[in-house]
Amino acid sequence: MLILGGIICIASAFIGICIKKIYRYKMLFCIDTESFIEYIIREIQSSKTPFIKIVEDYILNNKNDLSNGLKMYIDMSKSGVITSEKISKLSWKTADKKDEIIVKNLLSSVGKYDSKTQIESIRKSLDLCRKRLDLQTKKYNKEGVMAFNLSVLIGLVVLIIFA
Amino acid sequence: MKLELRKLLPIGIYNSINRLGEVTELRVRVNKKLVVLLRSRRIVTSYICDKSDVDYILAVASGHSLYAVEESIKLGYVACEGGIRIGVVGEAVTENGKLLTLKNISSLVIRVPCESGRVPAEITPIISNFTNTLIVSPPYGGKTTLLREMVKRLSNSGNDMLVIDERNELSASVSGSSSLNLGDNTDVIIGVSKVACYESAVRTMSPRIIATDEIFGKVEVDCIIDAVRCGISVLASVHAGSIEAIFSDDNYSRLVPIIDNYILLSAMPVVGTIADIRRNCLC
Repeated sequence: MLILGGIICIASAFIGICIKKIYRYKMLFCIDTESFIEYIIREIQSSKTPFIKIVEDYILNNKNDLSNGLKMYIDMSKSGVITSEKISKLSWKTADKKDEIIVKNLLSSVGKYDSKTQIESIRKSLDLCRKRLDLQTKKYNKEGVMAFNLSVLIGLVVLIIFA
Repeated sequence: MKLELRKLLPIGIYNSINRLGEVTELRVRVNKKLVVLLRSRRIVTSYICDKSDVDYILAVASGHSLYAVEESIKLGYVACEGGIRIGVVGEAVTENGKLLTLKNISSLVIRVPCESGRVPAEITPIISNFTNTLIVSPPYGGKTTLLREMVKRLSNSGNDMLVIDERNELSASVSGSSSLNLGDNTDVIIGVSKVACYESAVRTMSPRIIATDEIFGKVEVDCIIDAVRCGISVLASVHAGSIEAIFSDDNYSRLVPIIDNYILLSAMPVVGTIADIRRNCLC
């Protein structure tokens, strides 16, 4: 019984770690999105780099979930014009749906305006992204950590009962 | 059809022109019929263009980055791969009388460069003993094609050429390298006004011949006169309906003392037809 209790305790703690990781990945996605958007603004402001090149360079220098999804965007661009419908099919493994929408809206809007209007529009996405990052950080610190602590606690309780 | 042109076109337009032969120009106007120019005829198709066609072409032409081509849009064109040039017209956005950009672009003229690979026999004596030459023609007469072929021949004959390609039409450069052949001894400056690069180019590149397309206005004529004064030969083109129009214009007639050869082109019966050649008009 003690062994069974130990196994359940470890499994419960493991579930807690997984839940905490989910919150962490969502937060990391927002951090990556924020740095991606800042990178776009810098590139457009300094050298008006074409957007496809910006995305390609980002993918080359960053190995994360955001860049995995962006690879699909590059594939789309090679097969013709990128439409909002095509962009809506993009997805990211670790992202919250609301955070995905920020990236999709950004990808849909970039490239359609002159640089001044374009940067204004991207800054709006950046503001939204920062708000979401604050929220995801709070969630991670509160709910993620709490879920981990709770699952460890449940595991220990089970262990004590079985013992 | 050139691959670059095919990539640029939405499916509706592509299907309308696919079987027409060698397209040299397309006119896309919102809510109007698509007009196609071939080397020897003009066809009004039944396809009605819409705003999405214009947006599609601009998106592909700018690599999904309209902001990256805003400077050239201000000048009224977008240069694409393969030397294709798109003339754009729309609603001007101004501030204190200064043009900031164009929005609601409603008409496009897509011009496809031709590499004929040959120079008419009448031109050969001019190339073999080159002196200052002006190619004259109305729009769509084949100036750029002939200029490009002459540059290639002169360059391959051992002349150090400097091409001032303000609108990236002669060289069709992509990422700094020419996608059209301009010869083995040709240096190309792209995207800078002729006026801005004449002085520095003459000093730094020491060309034997400067070639440039579509000279326009007093300042550019001044630059050409200056270059010739420096001992450099000039091969240039200019918009005019006849050689006499050059002689009678207050500005362009200033070129007469320095230009030795005039080549008049016509679009009839086919684009690039040599209508007249005059040499040493001062004599």
